[in-house]
Amino acid sequence: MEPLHYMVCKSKDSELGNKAVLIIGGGLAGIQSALEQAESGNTVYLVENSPGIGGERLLYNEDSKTVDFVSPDLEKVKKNKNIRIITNADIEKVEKSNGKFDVKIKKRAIRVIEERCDDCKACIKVCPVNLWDDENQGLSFRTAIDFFDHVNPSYNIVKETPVCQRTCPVHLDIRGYIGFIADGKFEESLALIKEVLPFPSICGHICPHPCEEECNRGRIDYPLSIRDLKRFVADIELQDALKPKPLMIVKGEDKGKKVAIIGAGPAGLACAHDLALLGYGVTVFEALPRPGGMLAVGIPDYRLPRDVLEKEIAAVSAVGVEIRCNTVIGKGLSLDDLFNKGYEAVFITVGAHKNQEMRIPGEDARGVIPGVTFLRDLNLGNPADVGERVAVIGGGNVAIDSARCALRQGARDVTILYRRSRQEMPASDEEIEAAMEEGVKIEYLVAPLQVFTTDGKAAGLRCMRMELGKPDTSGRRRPIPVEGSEFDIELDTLIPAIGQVPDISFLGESSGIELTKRGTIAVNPDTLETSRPGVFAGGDCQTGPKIAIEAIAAGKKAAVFIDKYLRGK
Amino acid sequence: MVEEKKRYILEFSDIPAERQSVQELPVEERINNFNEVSLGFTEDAAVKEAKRCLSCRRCLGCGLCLAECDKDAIVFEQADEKLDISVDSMIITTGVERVCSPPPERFGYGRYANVVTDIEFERILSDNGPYVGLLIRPFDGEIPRKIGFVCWADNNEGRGESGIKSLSYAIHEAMLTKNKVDGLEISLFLPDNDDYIKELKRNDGKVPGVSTKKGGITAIKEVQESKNLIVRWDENGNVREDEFEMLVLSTMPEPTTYIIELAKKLDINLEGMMVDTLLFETSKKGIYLAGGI
Repeated sequence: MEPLHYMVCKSKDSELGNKAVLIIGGGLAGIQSALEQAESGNTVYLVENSPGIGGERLLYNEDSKTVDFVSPDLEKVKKNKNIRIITNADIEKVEKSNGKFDVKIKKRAIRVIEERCDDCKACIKVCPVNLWDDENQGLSFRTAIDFFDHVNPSYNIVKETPVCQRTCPVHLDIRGYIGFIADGKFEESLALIKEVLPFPSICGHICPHPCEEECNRGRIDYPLSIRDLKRFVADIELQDALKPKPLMIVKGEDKGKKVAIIGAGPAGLACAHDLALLGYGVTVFEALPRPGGMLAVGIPDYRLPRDVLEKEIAAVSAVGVEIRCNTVIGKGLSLDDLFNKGYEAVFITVGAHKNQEMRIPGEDARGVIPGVTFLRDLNLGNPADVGERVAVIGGGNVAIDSARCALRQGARDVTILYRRSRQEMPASDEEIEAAMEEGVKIEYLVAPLQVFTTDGKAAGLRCMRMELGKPDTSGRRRPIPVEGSEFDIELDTLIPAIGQVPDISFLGESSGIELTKRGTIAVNPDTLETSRPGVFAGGDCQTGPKIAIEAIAAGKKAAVFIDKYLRGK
Repeated sequence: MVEEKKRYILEFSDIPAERQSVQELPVEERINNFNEVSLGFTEDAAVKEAKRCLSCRRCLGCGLCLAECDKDAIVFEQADEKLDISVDSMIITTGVERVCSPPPERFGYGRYANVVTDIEFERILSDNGPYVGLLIRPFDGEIPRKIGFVCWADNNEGRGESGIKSLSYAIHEAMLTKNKVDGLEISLFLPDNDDYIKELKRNDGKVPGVSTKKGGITAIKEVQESKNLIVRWDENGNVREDEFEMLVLSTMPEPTTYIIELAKKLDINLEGMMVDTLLFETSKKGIYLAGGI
């Protein structure tokens, strides 16, 4: 029976010879090719993805022995001076130039100095980690020290950022703080979170936890409740049962420079916090009466209690950040004025608080309250009277929040109308389920056509049924109207919540700051710097509506590059 | 190296199974006010939930090995290296990867502890494998007396050359198994297809005592207590049934995901370049393929 997986590769190409050859794959065929090429006078680079060459074991060999098969030429390859072996490496990029290939190779760290290692296995005996032994197909465990191969020991410590940490926009050491909780060390856990994240409690209450989607435990049963665990340790502190450790507030030396931040949302506050710790004088200008941005005026109290928000914002003030509410930039205080007043850098993070219009007749009637406006008024203490019957248009979290708030405002009958199906709904599953539990009705595949009014006030809505067609640019299936399916509903209040866009008109025309086609602020994606030197932008006003933790990440990133900019000045 | 979903994880006692749930305000207590709905974890639940973390089973940087290594051979801080080289030609020899097609879950793989793939079985047979060469069942460590090899007898259409190769491999493993344990009963399920029968005849001398069952498998069920497997198959229109202590599913060689990714990067067309190729030039000048691709 001939071997299954490899063939002798006799080079018939006369062009080869006295040249440089790259061989990708250090298995049997790779080894054989490498030897042939080297023998015909070529310089050979043998690049292998795994930590050792020799190939994976062969599924069978001609002797029918049940031991791992090793290429007989392995030693020859290792000794050949014309062959350079590069293991644990990936081909990153190949470019062709002047008939040659320029190859970029990334060799991953193995964390073991092979010349010193004498194969004593002491490290393996003490390693506490149990991980699936890939070589044995997961039928047994191995340690974090990969042995790779029993015949050709090649040690390799597999150290990588856990998938949760990689997914988190601020790269929290989730494994670390959860480990502390498991050991009952709550203070240490919180300290670890606070090294990176100034708002553990806020995120612990409202983060849509992208990390949990990726959690490896989810592939076995359910992912860890990472968000709720963070909330648990963060809340202990808020209840004053735990005093913040002094090491959490280590301020850098006073840099003698001032930074202005426009917008006291999660991005602005995170940036202010980090810059203040670096020793800058930071002033945050907030147009609304309360700081917090969408956290304060977008997210309802039943998701994020006010005292939680206030305590964590107070912690930002405590590191020396000045927050000036009711201060609108543009009217009487322009961007230029800020620079004239001695601020050497500006971070614009005004969020996306403008409602997208439905573009249907009757949209301007009384009783039609855009979702963001509805939630803002409610959160600032001037709730709108919604009446008994409320319809909400949209499928995002603002729509769900609006519906649940309307219910709490006394509405009897709250219906969400969404033009696609549940599958395409962008709101998070837990929010949708909670809303339904509370009695919110959701009608899928329905789009609004026209608002009916009585005495200038909204009284009804004409709708149309939809069906799903081919996916559009967003990757979701495009809704197509079903002809003749119009129907009318009666209502007292209509809350359209089909999306938000940033309102950047306050900058005026001569600000020198370029916008994108989508109406967001254009920045250098690497540094968040705008087209005007010294002015940075991030958060929803730069990306469009996203989740809080992404805004926090943007704020932290801006702090890094504002610091860099000011130090270079 | 991508970690795949592994199988018997719930069997291990170091992983508490249940996800803890947070307390919530009951609906009637929340729809008339703005009090927070979620009440969070109790301390007890939080600690239990935190213990569910698998730590992703990677190096934690604890430093125990560093302390233990008296040769100072371990460097935690070693960084990745970047190398730039310039070459005249490239030879790609990234081998094959073995996959089950149709998905092995259809035969109970993943659900039934004693259904393994042929690669797993090869590990079980190997002296360097998880059971140091002892032929035992993953479920209870018993030595199986009756093993069935399933060569994708899903229907009677073969799966081309790859299918034939998976059959010859199954025959080979059956032979090794026979040599290992005396008095073992081995059955081989294969499609009632001319090419397969031909391959079987070619190997006939090598596999004495292996009974072949031709025809499509219609159902596999696990016996609750013994975790044995009851296989039902269709032979010439007659439904047959038998009980096995272990089942081995055949896999087929396919191009690795690594080479598919690489081909994308290099912009080469892999179509028609399958298993067992000699050194030959690809659609791009100067790039060659060799070995089993």
